[in-house]
Amino acid sequence: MIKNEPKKYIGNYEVDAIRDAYENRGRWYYYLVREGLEKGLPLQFARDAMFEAGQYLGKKRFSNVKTPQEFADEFMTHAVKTVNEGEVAAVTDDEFIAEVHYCPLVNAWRKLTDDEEFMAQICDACMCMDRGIADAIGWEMDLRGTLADGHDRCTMCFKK
Amino acid sequence: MIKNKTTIQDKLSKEIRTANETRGLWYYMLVKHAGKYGLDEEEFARGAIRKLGNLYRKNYPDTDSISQFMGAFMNDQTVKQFHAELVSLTDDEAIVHFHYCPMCGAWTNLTDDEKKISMICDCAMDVDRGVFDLYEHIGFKLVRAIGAGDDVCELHFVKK
Repeated sequence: MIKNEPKKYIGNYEVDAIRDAYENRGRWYYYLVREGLEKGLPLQFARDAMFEAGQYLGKKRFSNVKTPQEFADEFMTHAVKTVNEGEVAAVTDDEFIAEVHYCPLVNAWRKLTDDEEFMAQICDACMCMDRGIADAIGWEMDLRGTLADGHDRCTMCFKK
Repeated sequence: MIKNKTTIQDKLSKEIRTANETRGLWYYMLVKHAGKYGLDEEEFARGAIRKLGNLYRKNYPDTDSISQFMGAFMNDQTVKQFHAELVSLTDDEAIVHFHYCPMCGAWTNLTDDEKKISMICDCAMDVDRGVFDLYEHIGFKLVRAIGAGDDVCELHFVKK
């Protein structure tokens, strides 16, 4: 059972406006992925697309990142902290663990389908963007649970 | 030669612009990879985005009045994201110019192929055409597009 309710910044005009933009992006993603699947493509097409999107962003934004702390500093933007209620769960010499407590994409998808298994699948495909970001600088992203697969948070572990 | 320069730089508009540019990145990559997996890119994109436009009909009022429709269309975020300007308004027609497109802002960083940008831009505008599929007495025409190399996107809203 998906639990994905905002707990912070409710009624904040700026955060709501950015959440709306994320939800819009989530609907574009949903309709494009569903169109591909309906036309007979495997979900891998979306995974490949998001991975390449991540590689692009990784090269653009993360190419100077050397340490987990630097990764965390770049990853935890104002938008991630507020819109996604994101926080740094841990930074060690080898890894950075990010936690996200609310996802506007999942919120958008829930208005389009009740199929939670499908949402978990398209969420995991979407997370290939973060895998691609890590890959762009030779790192890996280990996804340890998502809001879409019923956890109370998304846990992403970026490892050197 | 595509000309697309933003002039609105307040903090919230920039955050939302980043979200919209990322939407453009995802859309571009999903279309590209649907093509790599054997689908016709244009047919795939139009299929998805037209249906999304149909969904977005519910965001607008039930009306036959062009001026009432424009009141809903020209909202704060559309004005700021697209640098939108209501150029003229009569009972029979409204003309709007977009002076900037955040999605096109993403695409020009991803490819130099302006023919391709023009194609995916026109497919993306199916989100608007899809809205007007479901209006009995208001129609929509895209007359010029930044993605096609024009100075502005020119949108006509007409009585039908």
